Formats: sequence, structure tokens, C-alpha cells
Amino acid sequence: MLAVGIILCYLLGLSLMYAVGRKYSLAELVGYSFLIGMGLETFFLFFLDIAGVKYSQGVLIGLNVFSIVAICGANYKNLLTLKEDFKAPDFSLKNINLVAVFLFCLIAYLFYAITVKNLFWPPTEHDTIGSFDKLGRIMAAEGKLKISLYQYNLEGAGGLYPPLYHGSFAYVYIFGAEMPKIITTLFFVSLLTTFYSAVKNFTGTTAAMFGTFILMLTPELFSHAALSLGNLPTTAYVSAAALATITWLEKRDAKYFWLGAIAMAFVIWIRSDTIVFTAAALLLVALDFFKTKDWKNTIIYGAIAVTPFILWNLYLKLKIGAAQAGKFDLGIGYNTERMGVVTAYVKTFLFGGQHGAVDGGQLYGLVFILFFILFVVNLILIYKVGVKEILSDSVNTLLFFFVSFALYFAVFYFIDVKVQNAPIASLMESSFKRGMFCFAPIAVFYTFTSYASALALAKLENFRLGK
Amino acid sequence: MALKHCGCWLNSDLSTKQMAKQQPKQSTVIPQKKKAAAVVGGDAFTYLLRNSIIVAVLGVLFLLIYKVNEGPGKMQDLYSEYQQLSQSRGSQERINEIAEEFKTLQADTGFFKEAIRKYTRGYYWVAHDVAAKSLEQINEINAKVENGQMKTLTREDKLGYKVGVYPLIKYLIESTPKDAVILLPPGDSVLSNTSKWNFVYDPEWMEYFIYPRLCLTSSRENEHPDLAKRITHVLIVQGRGYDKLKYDVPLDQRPSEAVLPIDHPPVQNQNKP
Repeated sequence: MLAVGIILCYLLGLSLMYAVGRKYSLAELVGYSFLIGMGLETFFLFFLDIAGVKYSQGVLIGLNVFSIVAICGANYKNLLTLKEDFKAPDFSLKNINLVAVFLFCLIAYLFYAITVKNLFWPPTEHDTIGSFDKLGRIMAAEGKLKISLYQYNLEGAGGLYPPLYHGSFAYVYIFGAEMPKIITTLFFVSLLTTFYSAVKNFTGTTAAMFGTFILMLTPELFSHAALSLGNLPTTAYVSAAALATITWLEKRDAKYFWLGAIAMAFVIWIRSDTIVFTAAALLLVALDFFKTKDWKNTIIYGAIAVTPFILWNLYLKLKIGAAQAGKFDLGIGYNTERMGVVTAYVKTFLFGGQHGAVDGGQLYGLVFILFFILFVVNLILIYKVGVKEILSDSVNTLLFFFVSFALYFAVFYFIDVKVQNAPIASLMESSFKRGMFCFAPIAVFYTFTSYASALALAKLENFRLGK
Repeated sequence: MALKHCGCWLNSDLSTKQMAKQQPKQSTVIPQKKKAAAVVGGDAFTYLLRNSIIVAVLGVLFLLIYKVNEGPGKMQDLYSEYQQLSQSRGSQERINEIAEEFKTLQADTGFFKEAIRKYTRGYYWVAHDVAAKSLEQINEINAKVENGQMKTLTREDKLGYKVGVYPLIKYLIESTPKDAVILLPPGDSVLSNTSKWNFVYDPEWMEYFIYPRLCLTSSRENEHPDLAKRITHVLIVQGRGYDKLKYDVPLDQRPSEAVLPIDHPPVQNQNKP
């Protein structure tokens, strides 16, 4: 039955994808359909809880089939013409990209190895035992979102998080899973495929494969592909949402508008503190509004992206009886000591080196170093080529990266250590470190799509093609 | 109607009105960023040769990174072996060998090597330890299962392997009814400073294993006032918790780990994990 549940989840995502657009690449279909499907499944779990309907395989299968049929029914004319979009691939010798095949083989081996490890061991991390897996298991057992442990304050810290991540665990448990870790693997595949397709939209297969390889190998991120913590799934949503939004702003292809808005809604449906990414995306859309005066798009995007945040906070307040407030201490103003600690850790994460128990190079490898090298090279090239040329395709990426990072920095600078019951150094070494995952895809995306890198990659591609 | 414009019903308004102003951008202004055309120069042989050259360069680069990081990686393995041998008072000859090898590896430094290691040791760790080594370990276990040297591991067996305190938790589950409310030992330095007991004092962590039983931590009963009134059992760890029982247990009959009813002595002899 687990296979049925997962297939339904993919089909649900797929049906919505074809409702908002067509002509997707295979990588987009694989990646976005799971992210959207699982997001919708957890919306179902949320609304079933509100309606007082107990979760069961039958209820979920019925709901899925009904939704898929309804979406496809409303979109049947589009679906009938889909056949014309599929072309048989050309396998002639001169079309084989050996470099991409080589990189793909490395990615496939590493993916296989980490997946074997992931699926072999049960979840044992403190946070998942104390929160996510516990919530998922008990949600499936009791058939509701507000499980009995809430009345004894035994739900764990994740009980206040929006339900996408532990809801996805509950979903696979309902369909008979013994362990929920298949979810980690599916989120990892989605992260890689959506990232690959986004880079490919701006460059070519070789660069996209190389970028995906670099992203996948980000040491701390890769190790999380064998764990059951929420950071990797959050990264999958942030990456898909941000890159689809950027693609829409650059290419003006409507399907990316919808993919970006829907995925951005799930960004805030998986963790509330990811609001920094929603804010950065809203800023991009708002700036675009000044250019296009297209108020309708701006409102639709904003409404889709923010609604889950409102829904979850209402649920917390009205049903759980808890509110996420008082996490910040804005009264500290400019505090030299706090600024020193936070900045020192940020430097270590971004530029390598060691601080406290953190080794930046070990955690993130070359990801942020390459980003900043390319950033500086592009700045230098401005003198030669001109601002417009250099920034034409990357201004949105840079804005998204720097605005969300500044907000993320502010969140930790102003965090109330008394409420968190932990010193700032400890928060930087655990929470901040893992939140950095979300910036990795944006940094690698810029590394492979900026003007300077495109110049270098074009030369490589010309050599490869003998042009 | 919408289908005529963009082929999807959800886009009806956007495609016909707003999106009309936003036609897909033509190819970017940067000529170098144009996607490589499918036109390929030369014959298939030279095309494959050029591709192979890039693959070879990448392969050499990856191998170089791997080799540069192999030394420090091996040092960790040697250190683990040394610790194992010194604890078990193993072969002195091997210990000397390890010391010599360690010295050689320690001397293997240089500006470029250190610079490369600084940013690439994480990649070595990923490829060598997280991926390859773990796969090898799991394949070994699977091979033993196939050869009949080991029984097929269940989820519980694996939990027992990873969570040291799991046998005690399992015993707790077997010794208590499903509606039990269990008082856990306090999370002070005696338990929290050692990994042996994992998080046995943390009620949110313990709840994962013992649900639908409920639990709370000793000395933090005020955080769960409802449960504090309903305690049915006490989990004894390292001989701590006997003072919470409403009856006396003779000193010579106090096992260091046990699960005991709070109100009365156990009916059967079930106080030994």
C-alpha cells in the first residue's frame, strides 16, 4: 500500500502541474510533482483534522482520486493535446554528452549509497525521535493532527512547526510504512531534479549536471540525505520555490509563476522561520510590479505564498492553544558582543575556517566560496562589459540571496536566548548551521548561471562540441 | 478558451491579459549564454575524443582531491585502531606500526596540500565515509544475513544497535500496562554527561518509544501537573529513583536498573531488566 500512497502523491502533484502549465522537462516532472503532491497531501491531513474526519487509507485514497479526477477533468482539453509534446529521444552517437553522463554516473552512485544507508537504519536523531517521527507515527495511529500528547506537553518542539514535514511521515505511516525515511530520499531526489532543471533553463546540460553534482556533494547537506530531519526537505522547497520564481521573472513563462507561488506556499508550510525566504520572494515580485504594473500577479503570488502561514498560526492559536510569539529580543539594539559572535560564525560558514566547534570548509565545502569568487569576478567584469550585461540575468538571484540572508542573520541576531534556553554560540552551531542549507542551492545556481561562469562554460561547451 | 493561449485552465486570466504583456523573453542579450546549438563540428570520433578529454580532466581532478585527503582520513582510522588495541591490550607490534605510519602521515603537509584540504576534506568525508564506507558496512551485514551468520535485522534490532538504552526501554514497555504513567530519572549530570543512557531522562524523547504510555521527569513534575498525580511506575537508572517509591526496598534487593510500581512492590519478579 505504501507504493499506492506514493504514486497517488506523485499523480496529485502531476495533475496540478499540468493544470498550471505544460511542456515540462522530465526532471521538472519528477521534482515538482512530489513537492507539490506531498504539500497537498499534508493540506488534506490538515483539513481532515479540522473537519473531524479520522485519517485512514480509504479516506486518503478517496480524496486523492477525487482531486486528481477533478483537476484532470477541468483540464482535459489540455491533457488531450499532451501527446504532441512528447518526442522520441535521439540516441545518435554525436548527441551523447559524455561529460554529463560521467557526472550523472557519479551522482547516481552517491545517491544509491546514501539511499541504501538511509533506508537501512531507522531514525535515531534526537529531534526526530523527540518530535517529527513521533508526531508522524502518532498522527497516523490516532488519525488526527492534534494528537493526544498536546494535552500533556509531550509533543516536542516540532509540534509548533507547520505540519508538512511530520505530516509527510504520517502519510507514509498511514499507507503502511514501517519507517518514514523513504520521505528523505524522495525529498532529496526532488531537490536535485528541480535544481538541475532550473540551472538547465539558463545554461546547458553539462553545466546543469556539474552544478547538481556540486550541490549534492555539499558535505553537510549530503549527510542529511541519510537522516530524518527537516532541514533537507525545507531546502528542497526553498530551492524549488526560489528558482521557479526567478525563472518566471527572467523568462516570463507562466508555468513558473504558478510553480514558484505554490512551492513558496509550502516553504512556509514546512517551517515558520522560512518566512525570510517568503519575504525575499515577495520583495522580488513587488519590485517586478513596479516594472510591469501587473497588480494581479503580485496579489495572487502574495496570497498563495502567505496563506499557509496565516492558516497555521490560526490553528495554533485556536486549536492547539499556543502562539508562536516572543522569540525575539528587539531591545538589544546594537550589541557589539552579540554582533561579534554571530558575525564570526557567519564568516566561518561562508568562507571556511574554524570557529568554536564549527569547521566551515568541512560543512559547506566550496559552495559559498565559489559564489563569492564569481560575485567578485562579475563585479570586476562590470568595468569591461557594463552593469546591464552583468546583472541582466542574475539580479534577481543576488537580491533573493542577499535579502533572505540579511533577514536570516537578523533573526539570529535578535533571537531571545532566554526563550530558546540556549546560548547564542550553541544556536549558531546547530540551528543556524542547518538553516544555511537553504542558501546552498541559490549560491550554486548563481555560480553556474552568472555572466562570468556562463562565459567560461560556453568556452568549455564549444570545445566539447568542437565548434 | 484558455487552452488556445497557454494550454492550461488555471492560467486563463493570466495568459490572456496580464501575461500578454509578458511574452517569454527572447534569447538573452549575452551571446555566450546562448544554449549550445546542436550543431556538432567534426566526426563522431573527434567529438567523443573531446568529451573524453574533459571527462579525463575531471577524473584526474577528483582523484587528486581524494588522494590529498586520504592521509588525514587514514589518520582517523589509525587512531581508532590504536584506541581499540590499547584498550584491549592488543599486539604491541601493531601499535608501533601504527605510530610510525601516523608520524609519516603527519609529516605529509605543505602549503598547497593544506589549502586544498581546507576546502575539500568535507567532500572526501562524504565520498569515503558517508557514502562508500557506510555502503560497505551495510553490504557486510547483508552478506552475513545471506550466509546465515546473522538473522535478518528487524527495525527493533537496528534500534537496539543504534540506541544504547533501547534494551531498558524495551523492558520498560514489557513491564508496564499501556495506560501507565512513568516517572523517569532526573536529567542531571550523572545521566546527561554520558552517552550510555542516551536521553532516558527526556520525556519528549522517551515518549516516542513508550507511547501510549505517558512519562515525566523526576524533579520536573511541575511541568506536567496532570501526569504527576497519575504516576504508576518509576524507572530506576543507576540505582536512582528508589526514594520515589511509596514502599521500602531492602538495600540488598535493589538492582541498579528496574521498573517498579510506585504504590506497591511488584507481584512477580519483574524488577530485573
